[in-house]
Amino acid sequence: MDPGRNYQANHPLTEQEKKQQQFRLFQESLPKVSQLAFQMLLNEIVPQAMAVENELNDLNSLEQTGDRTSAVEGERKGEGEAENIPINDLSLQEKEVSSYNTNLKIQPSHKLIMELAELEDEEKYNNILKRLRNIGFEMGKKMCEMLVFSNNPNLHFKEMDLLLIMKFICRDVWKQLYEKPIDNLKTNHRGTFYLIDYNYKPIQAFSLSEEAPAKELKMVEPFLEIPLGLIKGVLASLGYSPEEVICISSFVDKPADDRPKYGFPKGVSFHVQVNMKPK
Amino acid sequence: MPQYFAIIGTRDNPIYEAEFPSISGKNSIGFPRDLKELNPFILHAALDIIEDLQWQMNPNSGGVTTGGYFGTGGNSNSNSNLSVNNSNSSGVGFLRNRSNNNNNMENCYLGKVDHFYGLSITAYLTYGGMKFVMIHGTTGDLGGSAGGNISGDDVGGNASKSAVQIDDNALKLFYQEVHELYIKTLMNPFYRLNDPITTPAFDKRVRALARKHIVTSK
Amino acid sequence: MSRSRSSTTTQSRSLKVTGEEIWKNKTEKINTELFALTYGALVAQLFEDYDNDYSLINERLFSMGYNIGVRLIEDFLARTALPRCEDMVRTSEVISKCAFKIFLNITPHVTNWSNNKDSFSLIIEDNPLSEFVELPMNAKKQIWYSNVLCGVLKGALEMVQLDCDVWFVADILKGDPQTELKIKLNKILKDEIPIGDD
Repeated sequence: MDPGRNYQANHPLTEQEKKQQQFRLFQESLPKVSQLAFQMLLNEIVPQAMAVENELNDLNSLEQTGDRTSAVEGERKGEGEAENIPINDLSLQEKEVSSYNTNLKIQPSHKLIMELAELEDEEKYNNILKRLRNIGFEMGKKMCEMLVFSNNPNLHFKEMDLLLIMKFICRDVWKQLYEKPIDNLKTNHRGTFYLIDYNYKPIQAFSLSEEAPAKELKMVEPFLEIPLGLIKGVLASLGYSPEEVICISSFVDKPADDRPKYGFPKGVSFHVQVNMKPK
Repeated sequence: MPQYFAIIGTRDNPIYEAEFPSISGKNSIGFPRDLKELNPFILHAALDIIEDLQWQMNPNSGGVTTGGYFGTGGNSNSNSNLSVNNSNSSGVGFLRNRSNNNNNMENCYLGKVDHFYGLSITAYLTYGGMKFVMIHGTTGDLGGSAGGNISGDDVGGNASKSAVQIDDNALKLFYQEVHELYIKTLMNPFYRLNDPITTPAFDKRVRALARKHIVTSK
Repeated sequence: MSRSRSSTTTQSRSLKVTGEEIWKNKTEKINTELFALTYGALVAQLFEDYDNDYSLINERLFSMGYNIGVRLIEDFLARTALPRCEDMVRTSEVISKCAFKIFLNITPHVTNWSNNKDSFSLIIEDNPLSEFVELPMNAKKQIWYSNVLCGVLKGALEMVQLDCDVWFVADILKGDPQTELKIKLNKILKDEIPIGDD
């Protein structure tokens, strides 16, 4: 590209370039929040899914023993709190304040993540993964509606086949979420796709130690459920019902080139299988 | 001309319905009662036609049942109105930027898809397969050919005699703006696809749009 | 360091400038709508999980916020390099002009001070979390949709030795005229709280 070219006077942008520019300007004009706030929210969903599962199980077992109210209150009382005011003695507003500010026992994220990785109960583990996928699914559906509606020039309604849709996910969806596209898309042109992100953003801050990499990979696995759900959600929004789509994630080695090896040492591969049913 | 507007879901379920009466002087003219009762049936008949069109336009869709919608054919015209500096993020205004910039919406408007005894039926398809359908009533002589003797045979003759004129441009704008409102509803985390839309706010805005785009006083 | 009253407006303005400058130049951004719909998907899932037990949902959102807050504060302090606040008035300024600005690009209004200046309200306009949201009828009375914000504030303040209570008192989503949350200082913590210590 010759920097000296005056595009407007001599070489007008092509139709497609114009659209891309318009779209870019439009995106820049949208209201924003910080990436960090978003990433932290996204990542905290995982340990909280574990906490929710624990809480639901406690509630279930308490309900069975008929002892729910007092036990839940007991659970809420923090450790070593100087003032344990019995909740019923407070006014309504004070009750509200008290219930989360003073009496809530909050488990820190890293403990929950560890607990999840060490969870042996398969049913619970699957429940949690399913919860995460659902959230990703809803996100994907809604994101797609929004992106489609805002006239992304990369969406050509004339001929949108599955490959183009996957490219849309790799480029537009991923960029919205993680500020960079998918690194590599592979397909066998028969409904199987591999979306490879060598630096999947939400997990970059995690590191693998030398000693127990397998266990630590297990800790990171649940963080891939949301993007899996997301991909399915986007596909669902574009007409591919979840029954027709299989989505699995796996860790892959980073390519052995001179890319800086910072952050999480493994890349992620999202394997998407779309069953093309004959009509 | 009174209008009857409905949003139909992907399972042919009604999501939203509204009648926009026309204003003549101090009177608000709706559909006469016997015709009003027919509106849902008229709509349903039109739905078959719309679904045919849907199928024609996109035989390769991954899931017609969930309403995947692509491949309408034809070139969309670039609409170069873009307001870049509008940072208003509240309400419909925030979405308005999008439809100004939206080429793909050109393909959603189906125009007049059917007629029934002088009533015209127009439709619009969203990307997710939601159908916006409208029955456009005639004025004045509703008691005559359209409402009175409805016999099964004389459709063609009656239709051409008193067919309602459709202002495509105005209607397209109306449909597009309702589409924006619909997307906004979809973005609500508590709204599920195919749920009926019952909020008074939505109803109010749709009626305001109808007043704005569809001139109903004659 | 003593600060006279006349310098508080200068301080306040410089906080505003700091916040804006960091937002503009040192913050990676994403679209608010994406943030809103992520949070929305989470809340909707909680509704399903807890089968509409709203107090549990409120608590879960608070817990989540707390865990985010205790980590978010580190990034905040690193980027703003602000010294510790000497009183709640200063704290309120930092929260409204800097913290909310650099993370959510909004500047809530500080008001409703208590007599002894240990508690105040934040009035939040253009809440990015509640964009597009309409609460279902049965949830309206009891859910504090943005309760995560209370948790974030509580966690963050705790890490700078301020033990506060943070809670919502009004929300536009509930039909109230404005969205308002209260922050009240309970005590100043003398010792560092080790994170994750049982």
